[in-house]
Amino acid sequence: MSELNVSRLERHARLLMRAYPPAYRADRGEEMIGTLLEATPPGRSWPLAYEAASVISGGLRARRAANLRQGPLTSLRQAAILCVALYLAQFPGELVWSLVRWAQGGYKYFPSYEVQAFVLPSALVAVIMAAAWSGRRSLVVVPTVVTFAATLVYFVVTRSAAAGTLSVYLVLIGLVALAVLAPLVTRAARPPMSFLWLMCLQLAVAGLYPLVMAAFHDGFFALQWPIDHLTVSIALSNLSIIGPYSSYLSLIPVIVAVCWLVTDVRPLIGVILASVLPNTVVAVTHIARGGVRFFTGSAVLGPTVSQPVWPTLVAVAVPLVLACALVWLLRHRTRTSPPNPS
Amino acid sequence: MVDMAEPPMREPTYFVLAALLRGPLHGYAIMKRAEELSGGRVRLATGTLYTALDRLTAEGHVQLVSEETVAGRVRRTYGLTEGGSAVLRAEAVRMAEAARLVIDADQETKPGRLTRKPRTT
Repeated sequence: MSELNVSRLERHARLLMRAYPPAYRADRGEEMIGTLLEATPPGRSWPLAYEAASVISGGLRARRAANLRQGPLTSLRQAAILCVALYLAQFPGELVWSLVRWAQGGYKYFPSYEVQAFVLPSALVAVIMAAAWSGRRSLVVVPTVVTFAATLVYFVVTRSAAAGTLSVYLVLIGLVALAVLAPLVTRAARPPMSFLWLMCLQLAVAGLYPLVMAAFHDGFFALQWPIDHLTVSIALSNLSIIGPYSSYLSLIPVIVAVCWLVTDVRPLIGVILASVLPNTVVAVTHIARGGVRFFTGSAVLGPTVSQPVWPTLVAVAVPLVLACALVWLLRHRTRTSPPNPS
Repeated sequence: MVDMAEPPMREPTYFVLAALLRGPLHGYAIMKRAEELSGGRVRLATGTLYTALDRLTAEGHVQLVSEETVAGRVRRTYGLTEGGSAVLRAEAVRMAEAARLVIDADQETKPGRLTRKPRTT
């Protein structure tokens, strides 16, 4: 085997070993790479397919085992960061999509109204996240509270129609607050820098977003179409609230898979945070908006007078039941999985 | 009687332990020995081997025997503990008992085939 092939093989073996958590690699990495190189026939620059698959699946198992060993509060914080990353992922995508539509002549103005509404809170959330990682965490509480209050005041006092946007940002800021406050309570160390790969995931998702949206508009996005139409039909006139929420619903399986296998998050906490919290905030926002309209008398003036609250409650109950079922399945699977063979 | 309380040991785990029966081995040697012992049926992959070694070490069935540096890399050698040896033998007995159930039943249903009387002519 030439030296060039060996070095390429070793590089690829190291790449595969990234599936394991860093602590595991520090202990076993070199030993496993040595075994992997020995097990690869001469002349190859990549390990055999079944070897590569076993390394990846072993890495995911090791990550899962590490997830289950860490404390609930640490897991809560990291689940919150994961949810923030997933939420933020759609906004750069919205921006790109808006730009594409504008270039095609679909929008008269750029950026569109939705993008304008997203830009400032997105920037604030990003600043809070960066500060949470790098600065004194106690200082982060202040901008978090200010952002939360400012967003609330802007949308509620001005009685903006973009209640869906408000819901998303209340969820986002609540998640950021959780991510920031959990380590203050536990005095735990800040998340490791390696966790920043989530931001890369965010950018990747954002890059794909225009393609997905284009496919959806062309009628090819088979998964998104029934979900959107189902929730829209349930929601009746509540499109502004259910719109952002319905696309989030389709993300739940992804979140469950990511929590379970890849990130440093206990699946139970990840699932609850990703599915239950946003829906609760959506419901509270909807009911609060109805209350404001009722007390200010604006409800009798507009066509939204008959806008019912129950569709939102149904839309909250469905994912809640789904989340409970998922959690039960995960727990059941843990309990009934055969004990380690001895 | 076959003990049904304990779940049966998985085949890769059985052959990892069996590979160490004659003495300590390092990772790649365990893989080769397991393949040889199983007649080529069990081809352990690297990830599977180390997952099994982690578990068996945590359970006290396998232990680290020595550690050396070969070509700039750590090479660890693993060996069976007394507990691991006992578990392996118990599993072998369990499988032998399970096999005997079938073989005995076979003998009862086909007595002429296995207990044929010698011809007297």
